[in-house]
Amino acid sequence: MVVWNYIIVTLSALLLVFLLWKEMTRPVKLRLWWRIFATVTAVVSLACIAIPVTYTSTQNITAGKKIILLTEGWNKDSLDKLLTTGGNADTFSLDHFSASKLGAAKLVDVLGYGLSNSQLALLNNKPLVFHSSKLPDGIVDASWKRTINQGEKLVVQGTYNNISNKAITLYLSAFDSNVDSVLITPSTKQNFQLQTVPKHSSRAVYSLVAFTGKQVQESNPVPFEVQPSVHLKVLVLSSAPNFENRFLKNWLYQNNYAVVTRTGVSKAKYERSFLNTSAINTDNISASLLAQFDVVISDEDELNRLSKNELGNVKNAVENGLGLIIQADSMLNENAFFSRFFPLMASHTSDKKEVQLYFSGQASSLLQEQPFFIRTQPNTQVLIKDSAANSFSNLALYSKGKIALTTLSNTYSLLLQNRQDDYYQLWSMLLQKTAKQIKEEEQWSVETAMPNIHQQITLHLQTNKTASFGLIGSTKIYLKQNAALPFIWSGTYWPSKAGWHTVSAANGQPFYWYVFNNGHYKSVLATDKIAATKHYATLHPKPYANEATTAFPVKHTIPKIYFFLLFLMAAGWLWFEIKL
Amino acid sequence: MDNKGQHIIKALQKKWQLQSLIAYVLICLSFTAFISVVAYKFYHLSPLVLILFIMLVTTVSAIINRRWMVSLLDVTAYLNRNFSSLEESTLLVFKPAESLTLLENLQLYKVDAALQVIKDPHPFRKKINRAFVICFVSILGSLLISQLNFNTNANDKNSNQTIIVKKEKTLPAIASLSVKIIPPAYTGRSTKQQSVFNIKAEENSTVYWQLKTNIPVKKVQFIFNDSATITLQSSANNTVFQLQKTINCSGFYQVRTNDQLSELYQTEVIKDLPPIITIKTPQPNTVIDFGQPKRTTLNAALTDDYGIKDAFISATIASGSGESVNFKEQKIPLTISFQQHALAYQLQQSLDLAKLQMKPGDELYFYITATDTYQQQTRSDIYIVTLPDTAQLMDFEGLVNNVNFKPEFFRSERQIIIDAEQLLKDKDTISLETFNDRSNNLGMDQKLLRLRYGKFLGKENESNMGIEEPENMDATDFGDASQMIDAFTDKHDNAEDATFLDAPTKLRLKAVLNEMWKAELQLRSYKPQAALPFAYKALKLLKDLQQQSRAYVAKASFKTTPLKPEKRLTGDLSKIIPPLTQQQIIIKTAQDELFKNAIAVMEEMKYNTPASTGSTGVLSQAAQQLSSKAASQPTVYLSAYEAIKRIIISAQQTKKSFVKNDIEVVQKALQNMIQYPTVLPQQNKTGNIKLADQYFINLHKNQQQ
Repeated sequence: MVVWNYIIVTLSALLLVFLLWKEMTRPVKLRLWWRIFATVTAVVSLACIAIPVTYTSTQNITAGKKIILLTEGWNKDSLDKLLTTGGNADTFSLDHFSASKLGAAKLVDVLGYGLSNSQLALLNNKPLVFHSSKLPDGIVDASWKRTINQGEKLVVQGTYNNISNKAITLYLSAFDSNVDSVLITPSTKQNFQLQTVPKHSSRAVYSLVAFTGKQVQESNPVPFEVQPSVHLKVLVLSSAPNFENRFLKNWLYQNNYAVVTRTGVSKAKYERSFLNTSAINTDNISASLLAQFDVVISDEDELNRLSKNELGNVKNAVENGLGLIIQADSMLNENAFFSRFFPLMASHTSDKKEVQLYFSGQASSLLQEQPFFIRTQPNTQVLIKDSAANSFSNLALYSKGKIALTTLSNTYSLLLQNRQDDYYQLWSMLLQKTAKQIKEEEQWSVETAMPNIHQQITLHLQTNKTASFGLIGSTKIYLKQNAALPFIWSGTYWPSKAGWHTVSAANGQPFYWYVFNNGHYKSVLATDKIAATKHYATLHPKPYANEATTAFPVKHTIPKIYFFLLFLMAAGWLWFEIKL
Repeated sequence: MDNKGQHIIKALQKKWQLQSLIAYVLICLSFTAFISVVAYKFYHLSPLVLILFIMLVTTVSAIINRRWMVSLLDVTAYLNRNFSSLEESTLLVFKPAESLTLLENLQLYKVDAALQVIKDPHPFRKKINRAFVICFVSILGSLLISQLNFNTNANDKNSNQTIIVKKEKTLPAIASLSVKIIPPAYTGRSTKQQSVFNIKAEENSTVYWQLKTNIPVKKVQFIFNDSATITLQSSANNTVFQLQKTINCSGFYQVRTNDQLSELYQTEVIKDLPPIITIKTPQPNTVIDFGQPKRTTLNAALTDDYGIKDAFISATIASGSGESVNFKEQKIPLTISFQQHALAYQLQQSLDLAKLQMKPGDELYFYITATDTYQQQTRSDIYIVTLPDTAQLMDFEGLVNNVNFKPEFFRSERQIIIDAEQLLKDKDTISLETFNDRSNNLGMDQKLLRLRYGKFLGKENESNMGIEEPENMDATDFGDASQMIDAFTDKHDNAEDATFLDAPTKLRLKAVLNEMWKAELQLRSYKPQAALPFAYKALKLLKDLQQQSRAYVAKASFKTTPLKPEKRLTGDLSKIIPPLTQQQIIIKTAQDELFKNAIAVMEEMKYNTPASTGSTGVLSQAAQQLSSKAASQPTVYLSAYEAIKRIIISAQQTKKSFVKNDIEVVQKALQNMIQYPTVLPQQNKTGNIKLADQYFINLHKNQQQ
């Protein structure tokens, strides 16, 4: 910049000398001084157009003085109202505002949608009064699971604020084909839910598009990842052959799950099958045997039949994370380690009837003859219930492991009724809830719900190791250990490009996260800003301070238009002078 | 006489005529123009036709309606009315001078003088003004209508068209193209002429291409479905090329001139579908009971896409029973004629079973065969009409040589029927009282019989007899596994079921009782004629029961091993080896997996452009699958196939310029081909946090206390 200034000054000086020489050497010496004056003025103003001219003055600011900050979505009427009532205030739009302008002002009035968290942090804890604009038009809230399992539904939920008087159709679109849609009625704020079962695996970006008629209102990406499936290892113990286990076993077998079954056929005689796994000794339920499985399915009868030693092994394994699913008959051994979680009671009706089942947001029905219900205990979770909230299946935490009990013994009827999907959902839920969890050494998460380009993003890492930095692409971000929870490490990052990003610890697995572009989810971001600014405003209310005056230096720039006019006048005079 | 007044008036007439005509034409034009604009806007008529229409309407109406013709009389009348100086005497100007009286002559001079000084009258000014206003309004209206965008309709039509007709890119060397599609004669469709490469034709159409190139080209080839190459015949200095080919399956093709390859063009074949036969009556299984007319009405509809050539009924009559069953086949022609090869026919034909020489006990199997003009045959399902043989019920054959505990009752039911028939024969000869009495007695017999059967069911009580139990066909039972299990298992603990008879036999017995009850009712109300069908049905069911209870047990020469008394009841199972199965499922790397990988690879390409080496392999495998799919369904998959080829080429050249649209087209197509995945249980992931573990352990400990 300085070099530039020097170049300008030198060139101007040269030009001035040349022009003056020309004026001097002119034969007609009429109005020579006028001409010289005009030439000098012209050249100087030309130079001033190129170089910004500033001056500093001291300005007295009263401490009670306000700054009015106009952010996106501000309303002219509210500004006028504020100016007439508040008086004496400097008004800035966000683009022309910097922290230095805050100066000694003690109150900031913010109009519009407000400021983001990172912007609020720059306010130096100044008190703030927020004059929030109305909620913007469009999708003001949207959320979905960023990683889902194969076969799981992608559910996009959110809120649409429809200010217009036209109906709006929201589409969830997968690779350019619409898979679900919802109609938003005019002039309403409406919650919506769109869902589909994604067909692909790994990462993909669906889109959420709002239409009025044929016109696109907004189009937003819906990035998510379909995880590769991790197969469970299942041990099935049963006291007698039954259809329930047979169908379950076949289903798991056909989907390449490792299943070992041990079915009692006579006294101390077991039919054994080893599906998708090599044969192992199952005569004795030992700790080493149980360690090979993620979940054990057993009927209550069989558990009671186990020797004390074996049952102890099962108990220990569950305490260490193994999942146990118990299929219960009517009777329950009152002394078993699991029984106190699941007291059973018979239903009063004895006739056979169709019972509605509700589980994990799904509804189905099954024919039941005098079913048994679980009296729900504290610290247990209901997994399957009927329309009268009677529980068929509960889940209890047992140290690091989980125990589930189900009294349904004819779920295979669902398969026979060609309702495979219900059956798969039900058993997937039961197995998934109960099974041993995979312990990951490093778990990354993004704190910001909608990471946006050129915005501060906070990333967290959960690990037992010392993680001083993370890698985003080839950029290092340095992590700070949480003071209270030592296994949490956090760092911030300002993404400069939209799309998928990875973050990983040193030599760790990459974690994928998505950065949205500026135009995406505008209204969601605005809503977030409103909430953040409101929160800040409640934390930093307007003080009842006495007024004092302080001198404060202010730097002013002289507008270039003045120099241009000056140049025009001087040059005009020089041109006109010849004509005289 | 020639005077000035005449000239003035004639001039006025001419002037006014012109003005009137202009006004008239203007009004005409404004109406017709408005109508034309509307017609052009909404019905897309050609502008030339509309201009002709406007001109025609205007001239014709001007000729027909001659009100614009202003006569001299009109002029004089007007002048008389409007100018008092003329003193109502203007007409005198036209009176021949000879016939003028003296007074008239004097008056004429006066009028002549007055005529010369009258100021320009404008009787049509108003009319013209009005005409101009109307014209202006109509122009304004037309402009408004033509500018108005009825966008919903217009857009819909346009967008539909763009989906179907994709704009073709032809090779630069090709100057012009004409494609002639000649559908097979039987379809009755006319020849189509087009100048685009994409072809939609009836199956087995002959397609005739004629290409003209702007420069002489060595050879022009068509590559069909990426495999078959056909060279076009050239003529006229290698600038005109021709090819004739019969198209019988969908697919795509490419044009090659010298070494330049064009994009892919689709050939879509409209298949000739076989005829469809819908039979409304009779039911698939019809039994014509005793006493009903021996005839059934066939009511069917035949439809086809290009025309039905022929149809007939194939009937087979099965007569006799056991080993002496005879089959007689015959073709029954339909009463309607198929000369016209129409697209649809309605059949209404009565099948007279007596004419087919069917006797009681015979069965008629028939189906309809229809042939369309493409010689495709369709056969309907087989329908069965049965004439039951009541005589058979009466024979003793089954009873004589059978050890059974029911014979006496059979005889009774048969006896009741015989007696009832006898009673009907005697009706005319006996008194009404005796008739009623005998009928009542028969009813009593029927009741006794029913009660005796009731014993088998454990239902000695009369009161609950005859109440029909609902058929066990509840919709909610569908998929109820316990019902299935019941069919194969015994329930020893159920007192109801613990009798001699098994459940199905009981069910039949119940049905017998039901029929007997109905027969009894009729007999007791002195209507033996009405009782007969029920009695027959009861007898038939009993007969069936009797047949059911027979079982054949083959003699077996099997020697059992002698029992070892010392081992009995010891419970020693040590020698028994429990069953063990070990299986490993072989999951084929499904096609879906490949498509999923391809989608993932392309998703990666959207963001990180340099494609890895493995990715092109995945893509080309997917492209192969897409190619075969495109050959069978070109309308759906051809564009995706082209797109994936472009992607592979740019990936191989490690160019960064993937067309993002291409990727989306391919992803969409691949997604279409993938099946919906089913839910499978998965292992959840959690962080390995010691603190969390400790929390759960302590929670557990606290709960134990």
